[in-house]
Amino acid sequence: MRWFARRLGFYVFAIWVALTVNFLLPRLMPGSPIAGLLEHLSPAQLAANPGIVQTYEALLGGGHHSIWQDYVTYLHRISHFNFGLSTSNYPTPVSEVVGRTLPYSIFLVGVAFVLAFLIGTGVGMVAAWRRGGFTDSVVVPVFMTVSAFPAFVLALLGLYVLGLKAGWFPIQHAYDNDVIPGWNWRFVTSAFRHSQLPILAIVAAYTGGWVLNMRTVMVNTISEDYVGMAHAKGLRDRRVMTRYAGRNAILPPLNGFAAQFASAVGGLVFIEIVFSYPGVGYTLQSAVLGNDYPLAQAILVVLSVCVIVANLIMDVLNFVLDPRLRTA
Amino acid sequence: MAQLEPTALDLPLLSPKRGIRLGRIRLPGWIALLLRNRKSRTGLLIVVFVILVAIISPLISVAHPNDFNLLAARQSPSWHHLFGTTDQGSDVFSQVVVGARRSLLLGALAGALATVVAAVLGITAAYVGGIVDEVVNLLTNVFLTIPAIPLLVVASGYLKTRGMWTMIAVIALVLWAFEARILRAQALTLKSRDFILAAKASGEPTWRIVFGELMPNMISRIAAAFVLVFYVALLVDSGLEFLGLGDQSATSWGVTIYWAQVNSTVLQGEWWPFMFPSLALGLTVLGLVLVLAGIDEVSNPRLRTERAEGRGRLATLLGGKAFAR
Amino acid sequence: MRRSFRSTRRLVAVGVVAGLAVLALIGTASAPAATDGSASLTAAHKCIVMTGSGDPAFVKNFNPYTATGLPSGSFVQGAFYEPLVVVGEGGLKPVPWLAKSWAWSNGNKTLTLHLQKGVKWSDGKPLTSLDVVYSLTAGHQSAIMDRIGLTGTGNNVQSIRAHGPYNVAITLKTPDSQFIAAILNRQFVVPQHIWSKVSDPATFTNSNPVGSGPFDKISRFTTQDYVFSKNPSYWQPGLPKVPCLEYVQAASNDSALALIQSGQVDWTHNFVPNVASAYVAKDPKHFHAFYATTAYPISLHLDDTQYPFSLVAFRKALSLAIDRNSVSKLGEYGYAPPVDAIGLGGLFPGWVTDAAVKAQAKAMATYNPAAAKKTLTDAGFTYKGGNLIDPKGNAVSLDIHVISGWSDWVASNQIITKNLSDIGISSKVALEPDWGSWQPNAYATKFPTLLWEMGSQGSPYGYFYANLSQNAFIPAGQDGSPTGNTEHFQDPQATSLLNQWKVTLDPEKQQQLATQLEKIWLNDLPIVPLFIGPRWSTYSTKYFHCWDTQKNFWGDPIFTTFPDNILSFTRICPGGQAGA
Repeated sequence: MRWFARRLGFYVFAIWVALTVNFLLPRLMPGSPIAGLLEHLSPAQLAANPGIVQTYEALLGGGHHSIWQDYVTYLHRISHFNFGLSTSNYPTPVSEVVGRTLPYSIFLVGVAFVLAFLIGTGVGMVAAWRRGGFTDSVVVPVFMTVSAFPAFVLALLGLYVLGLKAGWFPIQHAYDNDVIPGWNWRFVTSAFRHSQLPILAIVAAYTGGWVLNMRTVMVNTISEDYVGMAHAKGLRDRRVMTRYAGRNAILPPLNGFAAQFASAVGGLVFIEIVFSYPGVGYTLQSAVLGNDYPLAQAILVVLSVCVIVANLIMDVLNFVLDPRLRTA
Repeated sequence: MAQLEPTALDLPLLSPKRGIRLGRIRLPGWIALLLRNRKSRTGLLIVVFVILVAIISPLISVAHPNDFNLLAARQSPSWHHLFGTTDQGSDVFSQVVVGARRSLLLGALAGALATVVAAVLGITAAYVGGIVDEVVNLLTNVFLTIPAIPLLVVASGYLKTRGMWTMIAVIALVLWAFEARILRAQALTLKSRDFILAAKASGEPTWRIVFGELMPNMISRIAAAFVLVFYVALLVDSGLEFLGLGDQSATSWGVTIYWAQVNSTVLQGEWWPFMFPSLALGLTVLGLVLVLAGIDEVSNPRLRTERAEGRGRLATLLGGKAFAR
Repeated sequence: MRRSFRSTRRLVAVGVVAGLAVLALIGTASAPAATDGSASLTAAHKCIVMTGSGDPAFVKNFNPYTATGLPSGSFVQGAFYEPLVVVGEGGLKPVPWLAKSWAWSNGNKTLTLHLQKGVKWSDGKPLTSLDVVYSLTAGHQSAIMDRIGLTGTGNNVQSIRAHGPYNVAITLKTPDSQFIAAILNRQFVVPQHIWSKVSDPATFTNSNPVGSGPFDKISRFTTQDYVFSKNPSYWQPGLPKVPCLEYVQAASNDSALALIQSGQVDWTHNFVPNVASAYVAKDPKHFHAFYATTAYPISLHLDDTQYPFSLVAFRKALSLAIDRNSVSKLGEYGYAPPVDAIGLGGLFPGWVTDAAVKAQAKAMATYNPAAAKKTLTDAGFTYKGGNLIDPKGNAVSLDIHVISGWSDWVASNQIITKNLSDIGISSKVALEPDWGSWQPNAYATKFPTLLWEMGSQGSPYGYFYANLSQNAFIPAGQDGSPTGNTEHFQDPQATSLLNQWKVTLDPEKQQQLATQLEKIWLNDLPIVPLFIGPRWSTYSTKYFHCWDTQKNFWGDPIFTTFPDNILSFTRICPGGQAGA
């Protein structure tokens, strides 16, 4: 329990760091923060966004006070989920833009990543169990080679070959154009259909890492005494593989899951852009390219929080699966 | 970004003293081991090949690979242009081989920087313990929770210059934490070994122990860290360039793919400006991944692939170990 | 054994779940792939499907004043809100719209508009002169609502009054022959009963727009797609002919190209590289590209106050040294025809009538490096080695800056800088990473650059005014976009001619003034016109016809250009046909 409280405390600290980094980023660049931001804008943008100076002042927490005052105001606003107004979608609040797009990203990365994890650890487990077998000598290298390519290359390949040429999958967006998002069957099937190719791309890009990871750990576990004992007892091979060796071998990769999740969230940006998938990754890129700093920074904070939440879930899972932690 | 995380468990650390002889040349032991291992041998061959191509690139490419040559635009691969030309007539082959230089250099430097920072911080923290350890640990964990690519995307948005050194610094800053944690774990296991305790007892200063005793014994893991950050930096940098956040006038694989995308070349039926840099990237990363796997297997003999005996592979495949004998 | 039963059962359970998942996957995978909604390959399009490029996820903002840069608001002007008159690109005859007729009086200082009767807002209330007066004078309520320059310096409007429910009298301080084509053309009419109550028009998102236009409701709106449906009680019976307009999101030029290639989208305004093979060839019967060349030229703009750019001979030499044909064919893929030294050949060809002027304009733009060199040496330039030295003794250098992503301009600049190097000028292409680093300097010509024209397009008056008039002059170092005088040039003789042009409504007199101005232009050459900047438009006749084409031309084919777009929205008709 104490260990748990420690982890929780750490996560709160991490969120605070993310918020502070966001606050400092514009100020660390040379020159006055607002002038530095305004310089990036064209007169056309300035004309189209009459309130932009106020927006930036809000973003930076005030503008005419001392840095500590600005900081306190900034934290206060954030605690009310007020991230300011999005300049590229003026005058929509940033929180609304993020709120619309975040669920799609969570769905995509959640499903894809869990799939990659399951497939990867499964293959790795089998490969380690049967050294030199088909899985080890053929499947593993195939996964390794595929995952060696950058995520955006795999996404583009999927788009061109499977989507455009073969026509097996829809090539963009999160759902059909004539569907209204909501809890209706049409939307759910449409969303599911449109997520298949992006999920496939993410799985292709990340499974290789899991395979190798699990295989390595599994190999070490196999040589442990208790595995030998289980064999000696006459237990069936598959049972030993999964319930004895596998169950213990999965712990380190599970820990790695949380760290890998952060990188998967990054890979999300590429996938969403290639497939025009309206998630936070795509919004982040268009925000940065459109000099919409309030939106870009808010997304960064939100993504950090997502990673932290994933870490938290992992910790809970760890706690449940690893009895050693319960006695700590 | 595929990532291979070598085992976090206790690795037996090998630093064999014996070398091998290739005629008159004597290779240090660890190279010998790497060459003997099939995975790392393949990987090393690939990486060395790419490095060689990068080195001789000025000889086999046109002088300015990004130059337009509008009369030769959109040509498919031929003997004159091995990898074809882009929409503006630039020779894709030249762009790929010259681009190898920037990509490799950036990956190596980012890897080196991140590894140095990770090693120094991680190992010192592990050895010294106490408050230093807590602080470094905290720092590492915080960096690990901030997602790298979004941070890089936002940082690139703010940066006015996007030159190579800026990219190296930013990528290293974002990637060091991962390795620091692993190296710290490793150093912790070494901390209580006899030779360290002896050095401590004999009054050696901390920095000498860290640099003189701990690091040399972790060389395989530090090398592994370097290789890992190298290829992750490659993937991340090409990713940023693909998004249009890199230096668009530079010659590099990611930039070539970016232009291919901007000009919709594949949709025009021209696959080569997209395919060849991607293959180059994938090949290099694969080579590095193989080297990494090889380092792992060398350090951990249990990982080495055995050939199935007895009734042969098919039997093993179908029935598991119980049948194999 | 009990244990093995349990594990077997568990295995079976896992197998069943996995099997179901696989079935679900296969089930949905077997559904037709390109089911992107109403725009599927086989079903006919009910709505015209349009797209742009680089659109962020859609948010609702239909404010016609502020949201034209957003995907949701890019054509609310035209679809929901209507103009008083429509003067199409190229100074075409004004098409009456909400103003069904008009007349000048009071020494050409008062313009009386007679409005259409029976026009209703989509909330049922009638559109009257009060709404028109309100819309014209809304600049007093908020600066962003000013469409006619009422609140700016140089405002020529004295008063705007309603006379009865269907007449509006606009009184100017001095006569202005350009008023209708250049100024009134920009105005759209909004309902006074709604907008006068809006406290902050800048942040008002107008999520339930009330307009008089051919489309009056938003029947669908998601983050990636929206539909405007037709106004059943539109004041022009039978119009619009299409039932709805649909706009879908495209993340990039690449994804937009995929959409039009597959026929899912009918109409775009993106630049498509190699359009003949990338798009038209995919379905030659239906897919068309209309890259309209009724536009001002793209020219090389320099700071004319800076030495040696200030020397006319230097600018004339530049014009002779640049190979416009190569630039047009290789740099601009052949889409952008080269122009003569005046540059009006695309938009106002009928205004250059004098044979001698035409010949001189052509000669000044013919590729002739030898003549260029001679022009320079005659003006006091010398050559040292191969390098050009100006009369003051310094080597001449001219680097052209361009945004690195605009690959056609980059290619054209490569050719241009090579041409300049051939006559001894040290010249290279300087790449700028993005709009933010290029535009402020380009608009003030702090560096040489290719640039479009910003003058009004009602008649060539706008072109000459922006580039020659003292009244439009912007000093060096300042942003030239308010008047279009980015090169910081002025000519007093031209100014007096332009002042005369402004106050005369007689077309013949205007033509005479134009010819004189053309001669002055060729004497001064403030900029170096190079090629037409086409208006990109790709369209498909698979489900709709009656498009704006070369043969059937009524204005700018781009659906975000107001007020030309309202002509397209009301004239495009349903029904596929082969051929344009």
